[in-house]
Amino acid sequence: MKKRSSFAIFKSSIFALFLRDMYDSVGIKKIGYFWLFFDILFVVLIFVALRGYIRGIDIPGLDFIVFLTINLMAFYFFKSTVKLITNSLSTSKNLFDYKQVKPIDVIFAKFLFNFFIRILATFVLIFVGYYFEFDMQVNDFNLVLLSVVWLGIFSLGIGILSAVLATFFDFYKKMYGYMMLPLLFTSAVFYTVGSLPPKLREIILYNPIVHFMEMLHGSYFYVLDTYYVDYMYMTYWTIIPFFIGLFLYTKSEKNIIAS
Amino acid sequence: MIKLINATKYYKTQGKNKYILKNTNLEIPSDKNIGILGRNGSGKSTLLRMLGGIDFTTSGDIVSDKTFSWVMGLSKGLQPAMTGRQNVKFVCRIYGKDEEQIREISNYVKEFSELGDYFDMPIKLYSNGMKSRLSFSLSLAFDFDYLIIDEILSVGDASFKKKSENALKNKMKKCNILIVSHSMDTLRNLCDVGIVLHEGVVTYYDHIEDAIQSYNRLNKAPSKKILCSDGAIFDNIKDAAKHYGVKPKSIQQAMTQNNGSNVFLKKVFWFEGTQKPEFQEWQNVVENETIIASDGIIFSSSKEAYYFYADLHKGIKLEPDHIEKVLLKDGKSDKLKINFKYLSEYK
Repeated sequence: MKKRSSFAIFKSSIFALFLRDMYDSVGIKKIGYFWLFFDILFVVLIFVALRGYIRGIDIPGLDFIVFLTINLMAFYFFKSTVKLITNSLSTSKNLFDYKQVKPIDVIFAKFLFNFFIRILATFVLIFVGYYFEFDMQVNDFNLVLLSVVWLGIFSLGIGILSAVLATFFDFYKKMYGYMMLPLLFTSAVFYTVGSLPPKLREIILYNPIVHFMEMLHGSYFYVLDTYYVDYMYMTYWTIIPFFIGLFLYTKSEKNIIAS
Repeated sequence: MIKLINATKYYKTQGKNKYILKNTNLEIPSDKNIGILGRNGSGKSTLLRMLGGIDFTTSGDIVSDKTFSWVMGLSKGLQPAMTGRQNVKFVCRIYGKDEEQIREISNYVKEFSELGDYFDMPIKLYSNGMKSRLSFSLSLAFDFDYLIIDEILSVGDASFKKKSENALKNKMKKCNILIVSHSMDTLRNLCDVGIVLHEGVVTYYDHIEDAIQSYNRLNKAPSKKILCSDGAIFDNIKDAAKHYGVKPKSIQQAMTQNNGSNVFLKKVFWFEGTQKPEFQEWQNVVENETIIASDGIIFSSSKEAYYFYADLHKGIKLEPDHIEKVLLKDGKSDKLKINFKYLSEYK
């Protein structure tokens, strides 16, 4: 067997794992493609349906359903990425029997797969939005794109750190589910930071996800702005967990494979 | 060549370190088929995994310039929701095969594993036998320097067993194997050299038979006397073989595969303290295939006989179809000084 460079192995392994995730979640029946998106769109559907009953949280000058949808898509992109990556190491243990497959390959493949199907789901939503003639005009498309990609890298970093911690601390693995729970309500998904009372605003701005949300909807809608977004704070939160995660990973890669 | 340099591996169990390797320095020469022996829990499988690169030493190194397969036998790496073909493709992709090679390998696996339509069905619908057939065929489709086999070797029904044994032997012309097994017959058949693992101490033996003997000593199996139907009593199989002028394998075959009945000597052997079995003919005789040699050994095919004698007499040059040719004439092999006969014609 001819020797391959480690980058070639990394590439082929990620490609194989990506397709494997695809096969695995779609299955062999055509209905699988439906479930692939339904999973993602379900949350949005629920909240939009709830919105029909709960009035009075409108923001003047924009369509609140669009606001809710993009926030939820972004937030669940973050949440599912972290969750998938955290769980990936324990669910893919069998794969480490092939020595070409390293845990980091699994992590990257899961991330790319999740990113990919969420982009597809976004296209579905855009299509639906146009069909029902929602007002979906974008203020600054480049910033929106940047915020989504940035959010992706941020969640990848948090995910790697979380995955390494979850393999070695049972306590963390148990607690992590609860830590994710309040995030939905403290991440500026249902409101803008500007609409909050100043004292609450100060506290909530410590949550890094708030900044991503603010950046996203601030640059999407004409009537909102990115006044409260602290780009340095976001950069710290992106770089530091990413590097701590990678550092811990390189230290413990062998343990993860052998465990 | 596989080199262990100061290799140490231990697990922590209840505060104590349980050693699998302890400061081991060892050099295993290339082109040898290696059998690993040891009692349950002595870390044979861990050693296999370390050699295969999916487990790691606590300190020290294991170095080799050879390629190793994944650990064969366990079908753990198969994804239940995916079809057999998708699983095969996945493994091919990991190993960087292009589309053309993937198609070839898929076709080969489908044909060899005899799965038929099941090949395109999810693995979760497979029986255990089908799973092992799939993973066994898959590991034969790749070219490694070493095949790593953990315990399970022959899978499936009798005909598939035979086919897989032959395929493995063919494969072993090009590559070597590393095998963990509790079946001494398998080890004798397949391996050249042996490694015995015991409480962190690894001992390398140049010949598998020595390894087996030292393993038996470890087990402290009380040596039972062997009784023969003509009233003779022997200490071990070797003595019995010497007495009757046959190869030890002949008597061993009789005791392990045919309820103690030796067809060549027309005698029954059994261990002291057990019931005397009735004499019976050889089980599973295949006409024009099963061969009996004049040193008492029975082979399931002329190919198996060829491998056995080619291995035994390295000095004599044998053609692969030598025994077949001899059988077509009168059965006398001048080179080996042994007569061969089909068991179905042997009276």
